[in-house]
Amino acid sequence: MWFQQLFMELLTFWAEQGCVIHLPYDVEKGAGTMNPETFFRVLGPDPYRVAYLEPSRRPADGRYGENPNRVQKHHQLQVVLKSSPPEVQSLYLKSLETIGIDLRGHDIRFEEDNWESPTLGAWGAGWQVLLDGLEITQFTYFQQAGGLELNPVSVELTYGLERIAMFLSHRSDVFDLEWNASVGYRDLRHADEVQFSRYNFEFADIDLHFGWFNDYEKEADRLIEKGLILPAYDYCLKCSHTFNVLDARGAISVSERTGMIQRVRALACRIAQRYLTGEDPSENSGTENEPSELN
Amino acid sequence: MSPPRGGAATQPARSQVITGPPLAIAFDRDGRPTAAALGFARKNQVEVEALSRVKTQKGSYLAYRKQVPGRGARDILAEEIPNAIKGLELPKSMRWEASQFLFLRPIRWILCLFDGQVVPVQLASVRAGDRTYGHRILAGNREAVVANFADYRQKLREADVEIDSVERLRRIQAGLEEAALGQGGHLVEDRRLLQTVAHLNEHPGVVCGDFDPEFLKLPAEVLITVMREHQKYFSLQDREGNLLPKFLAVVDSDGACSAQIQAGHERVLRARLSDAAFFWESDLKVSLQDRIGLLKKITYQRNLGTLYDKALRIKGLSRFMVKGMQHPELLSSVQQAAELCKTDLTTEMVREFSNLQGVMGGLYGRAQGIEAGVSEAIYDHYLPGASEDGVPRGLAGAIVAMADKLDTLAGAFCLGLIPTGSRDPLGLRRQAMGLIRILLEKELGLSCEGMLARAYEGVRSFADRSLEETTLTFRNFLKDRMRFLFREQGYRYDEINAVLEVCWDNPVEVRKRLGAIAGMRESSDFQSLATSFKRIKNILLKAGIDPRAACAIDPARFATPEENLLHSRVVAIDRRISGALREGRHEAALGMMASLRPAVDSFFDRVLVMDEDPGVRKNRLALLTFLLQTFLKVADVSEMVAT
Repeated sequence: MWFQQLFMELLTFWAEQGCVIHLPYDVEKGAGTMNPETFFRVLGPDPYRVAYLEPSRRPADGRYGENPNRVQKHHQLQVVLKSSPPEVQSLYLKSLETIGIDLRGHDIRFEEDNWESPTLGAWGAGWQVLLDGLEITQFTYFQQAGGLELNPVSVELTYGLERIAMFLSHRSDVFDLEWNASVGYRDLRHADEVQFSRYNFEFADIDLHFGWFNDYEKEADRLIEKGLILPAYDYCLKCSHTFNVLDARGAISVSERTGMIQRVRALACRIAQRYLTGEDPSENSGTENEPSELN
Repeated sequence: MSPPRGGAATQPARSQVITGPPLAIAFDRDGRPTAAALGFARKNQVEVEALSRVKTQKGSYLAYRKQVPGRGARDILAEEIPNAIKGLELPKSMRWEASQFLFLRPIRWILCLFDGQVVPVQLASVRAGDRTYGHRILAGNREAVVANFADYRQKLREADVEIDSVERLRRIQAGLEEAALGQGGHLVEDRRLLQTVAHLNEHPGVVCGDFDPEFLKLPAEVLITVMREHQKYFSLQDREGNLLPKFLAVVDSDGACSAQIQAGHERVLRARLSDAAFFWESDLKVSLQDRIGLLKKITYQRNLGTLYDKALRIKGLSRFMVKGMQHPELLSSVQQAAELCKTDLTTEMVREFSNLQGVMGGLYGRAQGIEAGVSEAIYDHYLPGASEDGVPRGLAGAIVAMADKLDTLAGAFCLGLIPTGSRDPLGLRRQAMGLIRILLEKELGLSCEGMLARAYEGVRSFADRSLEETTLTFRNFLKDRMRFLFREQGYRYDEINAVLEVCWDNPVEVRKRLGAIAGMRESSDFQSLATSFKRIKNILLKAGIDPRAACAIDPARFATPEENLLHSRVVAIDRRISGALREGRHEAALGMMASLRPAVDSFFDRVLVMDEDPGVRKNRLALLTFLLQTFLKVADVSEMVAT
């Protein structure tokens, strides 16, 4: 199966389940969860169903295009079902059958896995779905976002597309995937991996990035006060990505790390609060848990 | 899960007395019921004639003896089961539906039967029924109507779910052993992993796969860890203990398509091993020596400095220990190991697999040509982690390991971070236990409090507790650990208490005394001595004398030969006991104590301690205090319970 076929078929499947088929969001981010279509839509009472493709950047995962499995940019297919339907697990399995996975012929399991994004003040409980030992999906009942309890609870399904594609086409090197009949994954993505790995690990200007981090934070802060929540969120995402670049660059000490994660998280929490209630909670925040890692 | 045992289907009926108004106001002068009596009867829905009378301390009252029928087991279960489930302590629970019910994962159905009938339990929005569902994939989630427990087990078995975890474990173990045999190898034992996979599979089977022998250039520790931590695979080794390029995966499958499943697992493992190889290669590019500086950037613990600070403290402390142990030849390797022991925390491999800390330092050190004794000490210095772990192999490793643990304990205790109940986030109990085990297993007769005092010097600048307070916490903590450890080794708790009451600082010494006491306790002299000892303690307690205070005995004031005899015997033995203890002859010391029995017995037979003359009395109490103190040099045998 071609790479493009894979996400097209999944999107078609979820469209049939009543999902809005949305598009990637044009700000760098580490995961599909950070797309406003998830971050904002899971807040509040209104039911919603959405699916979209999301290129996800994790600078520290870059391997100069030399590792057959790790890349600094991979593709997630994100599905959010709000509220979580009782038959969601069967629906999910059906989606696997749609893309040609014979369930009975494989070892498929749902292993306990709690997901957390300290920068977004978000966490959920659920499973990682393993297909013959390969983690192909994060299956999460979203409990909290922006530090707020979610009610109703949404289900978030995050498919790791490269892994599924490699599985389906029996490839052990991501760069051997076929994007379509004539263009390979390597053609489209390899130079990207090499150049961004060099950039993230060796050439990203540390001082500039620290400066940007501060500026983006300032801008987000200013916009929250003005009630311009959606633009503010863009700058919160930019903070997060800037942090990730600095982290990959090895420029952040352990003690700084916690503090910076907390700063991004504080923005995310204020934005979520403001989005829901129109009020800025910055005056009386400070009861959140210590963030442990960054996703 | 075990099937319910037989029980009554209903509770027995019982009667309950409901007290009404006093008789004086329940009936008028003519004996007719008043409004109060009628009201009480109406409330209980009976006629006044059906009421009876009760006499209490306050007087006589109208009363109603109500017959309460026994409730059916089903009713009780319907009420109690939800309570029991809501009362479970869950590590992390979640919501999934409008009811906001909290549980580990969503509840989708409930099967609840009693005597073949559905118990009307409801949890979240789910009502109990008489059906369950088979394996989601292998049996297509097939519905099964269940009659009773045996039927439940059987129907699920037919639908590819084995509900009995013991049976699953057995099946997995048999499968693993058979597969290992088929590969001409031996399973690398892993009980914990076995437990885990037994609870991750409803219909377990075993698949065997291969990996590229090229990866065998990685250390076995790394390969085994990658397979276990990332993939929950078991490893195989040959007869000589060399790892084979193979793995065993426990899968939730009926074995129909195992070739296809095997290929999938092999691909995943290849990716994982490539990553590990990448870490190994890139970590090796920076020497451990060059990593020392990186430790300055890593906080060890809030308020206890960086890892660099900790390494320096371990170095200082281990130098102190080496000096105390008179092994100067170890000094240079211990110092180097202490300096390097935390550097592997800066490597990619340890960031990925934190349980390889120490091990990786040792392996990288060896690969980078660091002296074997040093690499081994680094490798071993977290040992013993769990109770099944061994202690460090060599003395250098043992010293660094103890210094590390003492620094952790001193650091935590000087900040008042003391474990309570089940909360021990810093693993201090394990650290203290590790320290004791190393001392015991290496036969190192060192003073724990002496080492702690030195460790306290290292963290003094962070401390908010005094050395005295820190030492006291440490002492009690150590005693508790020893109590636990020696109980596990089969000593009786009264023996342990008797020794720990007077001797705790040196675990090797504690163990020697325990051995001596356990050997002596059955002798009649010893038993009677224990009784006398208690008696002396009580006498001193009543007389308000601190048994540990200095005692001035004036032999000139002894009035009886028994006093003189006892005194001369104790004086003689006191010195000999000290000598015997110094020389490690603990049985002899106890024997000397026991030999006092005739003198003690005759003293108590003939002498009245609480004499009218205060001078004589005081002198006798002083003699007893001295006797007690002599005994206490060995153990507080008043803690012993008669057998």
